[in-house]
Amino acid sequence: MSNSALLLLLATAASAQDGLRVEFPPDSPIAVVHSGWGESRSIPRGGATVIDLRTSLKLKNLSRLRLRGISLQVISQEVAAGGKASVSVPSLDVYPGQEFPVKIDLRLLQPGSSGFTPQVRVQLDGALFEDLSFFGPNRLDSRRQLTAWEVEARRDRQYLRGILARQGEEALRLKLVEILARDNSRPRLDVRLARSAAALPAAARVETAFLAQPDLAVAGLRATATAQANQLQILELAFENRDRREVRSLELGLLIRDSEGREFSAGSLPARLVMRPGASATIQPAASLTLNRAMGLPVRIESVTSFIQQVEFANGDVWVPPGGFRDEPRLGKLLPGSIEQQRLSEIYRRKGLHSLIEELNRQ
Amino acid sequence: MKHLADSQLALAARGELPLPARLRAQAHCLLCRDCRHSLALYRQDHSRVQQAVADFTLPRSTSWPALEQEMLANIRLGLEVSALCPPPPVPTPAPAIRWRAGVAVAALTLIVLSGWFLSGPGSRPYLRSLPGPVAMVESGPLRLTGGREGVSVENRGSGFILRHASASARFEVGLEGSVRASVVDQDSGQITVSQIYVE
Amino acid sequence: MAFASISLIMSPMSARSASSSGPEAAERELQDRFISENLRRVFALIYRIVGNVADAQDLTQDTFIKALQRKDQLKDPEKASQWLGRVASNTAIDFLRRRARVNFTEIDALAEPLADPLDRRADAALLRAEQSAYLDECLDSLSVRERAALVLRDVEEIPAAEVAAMLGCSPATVRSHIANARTKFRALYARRQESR
Repeated sequence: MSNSALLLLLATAASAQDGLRVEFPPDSPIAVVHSGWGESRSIPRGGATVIDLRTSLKLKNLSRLRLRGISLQVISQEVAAGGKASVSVPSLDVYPGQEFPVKIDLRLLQPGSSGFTPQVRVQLDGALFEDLSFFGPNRLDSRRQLTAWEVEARRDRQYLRGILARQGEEALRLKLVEILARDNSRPRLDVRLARSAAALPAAARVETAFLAQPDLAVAGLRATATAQANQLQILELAFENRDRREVRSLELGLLIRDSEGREFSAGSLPARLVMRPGASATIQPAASLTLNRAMGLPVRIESVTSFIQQVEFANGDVWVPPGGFRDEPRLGKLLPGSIEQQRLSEIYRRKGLHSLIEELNRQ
Repeated sequence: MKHLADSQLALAARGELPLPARLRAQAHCLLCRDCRHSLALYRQDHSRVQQAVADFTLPRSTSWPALEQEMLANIRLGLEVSALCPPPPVPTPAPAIRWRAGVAVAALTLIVLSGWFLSGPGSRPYLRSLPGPVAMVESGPLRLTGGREGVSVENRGSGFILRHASASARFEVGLEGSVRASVVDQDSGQITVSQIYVE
Repeated sequence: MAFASISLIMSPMSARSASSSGPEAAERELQDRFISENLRRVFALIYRIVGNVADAQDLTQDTFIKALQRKDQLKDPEKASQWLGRVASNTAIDFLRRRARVNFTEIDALAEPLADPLDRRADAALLRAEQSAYLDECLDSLSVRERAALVLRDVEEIPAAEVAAMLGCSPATVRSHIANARTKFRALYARRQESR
């Protein structure tokens, strides 16, 4: 029996007793070394039971390549039928043969006072390696996400290393302070999304536009949206594939402007949109957004601007905007940085410049 | 004998009654054992209040070490940002003159300085910790939420939360019906993205 | 409440750099030590006044940033602890006042902070010593203004007249708040003692 199969067998057997099943495919290049609930606690709360479950899975990279990201699906059918959950860890740098932890901290809410711990299953959805190859069932679209995060991470690390090399440590420090201050000052929007919402009764058309982005593989042709006070419905978005590769999906970002000229980022819209080269396609999101600022103040929606923040091609390539995209002052204020930028700026904030430089030089 | 009122005892314990009332209370306590006992209890409460403040207990979902680290990091960041944008100059106190005038000036200065602190330099929104739920998706009976505790799904009284132990989470709503939170682990520097989707 | 007192170097605040030696690093180390030694007590004070972790965290951060930015106001380093306590108290009271957007005397109209999903007292009783639980409950039973007045007077040892100025009310009113706070605290504490 191969090492990976043996490890998988042992891991599954050990965890089944305490309500945790970890299910990786038998040919998975990532193996489970250890699993199980480290701490669990059950507390009655009114007519329900709250169960806290905490585990640190220990996994191992059995491949010959460095692991760059992993996504796990977390399923608890008894308590959340209709919802799916995942825990992803991008920006990894796990060498072949190396072990690494993935923490999962769950709180379950069950009606009634049952004394048992519900079954929780953790399944591998995808693993991304240094050459951008991917393994896994990809039920949660983790291939696209992990690849996009990795491409952005490489872009942003290169950018910061460039500042360090050309301008020195002080310039890097100032850049990080600027990123952190901007990240935390970003105007926050509370977004409530209702799916399959009916048309808003007194909605009026709002101005829509696509952001001018040079050299886009996919161009936005047309957008239609209506709004009623702080509720927005995007009725239709049309695109054209200007690339030689077939498009599999894309992800849009949305910017909202209110009646007082304030702008906010209102989330992202991933869409499966198969387009051959030169073809067009439309999407019709069946959802309405209710938007409020901090302290519950409603946003009076005046206009919506969309922009392309990711394109996934049928051959597995993923396009993300170039590094300078968020440097434009307006967008820099509105759009959060990448996952990697968040990680690196946190390393700086907590541990200082030397730790950040060490991290930049490590990968 | 009519006893002292609780409010009188409460103030007498720390000498806060006006002079005539204080003297009457002291005289009464010389003769009344019950009031003397009550006064002693109020005096003991002084240290209990101090203990209650010092021994504060945080909500279960919050750990002091994590909170402490978060505050230390934010304070350092705040000092760095402030060093780049220095605060406005502080009004300096007037020079001392004669004793009575000196007291009046000192009192005025205290109020001026206090007022300056109260109006403060610009607040630091970049250090504000997260308020209540900031992202929500509703689909029939299903509700997805993103907030301080993590991302959660709830369906007719049952549900679960993927929790994170940090106030520095970033949230995003996916308009296809998802809520996502990304958090950096303090110890490992790893970033974890927790996501809940409508099926 | 006594804070750890430390002599602060009276030199201009400099930005953090990667250098690990020299006067800047020494000052940084001194500041870090000042923050570490006083952080918990400042947080405790503010937490008791504002009543929730999120605001207490923000305000604690603000307090130290303000204090270290303006340390040249502090003429007597021996009084650093008292001065820091004043900065913390003013920061918390100012926050409550701004948040209420009205006179501080109407602060009780503020909604209570969002409860933790698991009731704090129910959980706390499982884990904490009984004594701490009683004391917590006694403080929590007070209104916002009673608690603020009590903490400022009995923990920060701020004279009643000054507490009145900070809270924007008359000395007689603040004495009334303090008396109410102490009698409620006493009554609840005595009740808990009897039920043991």
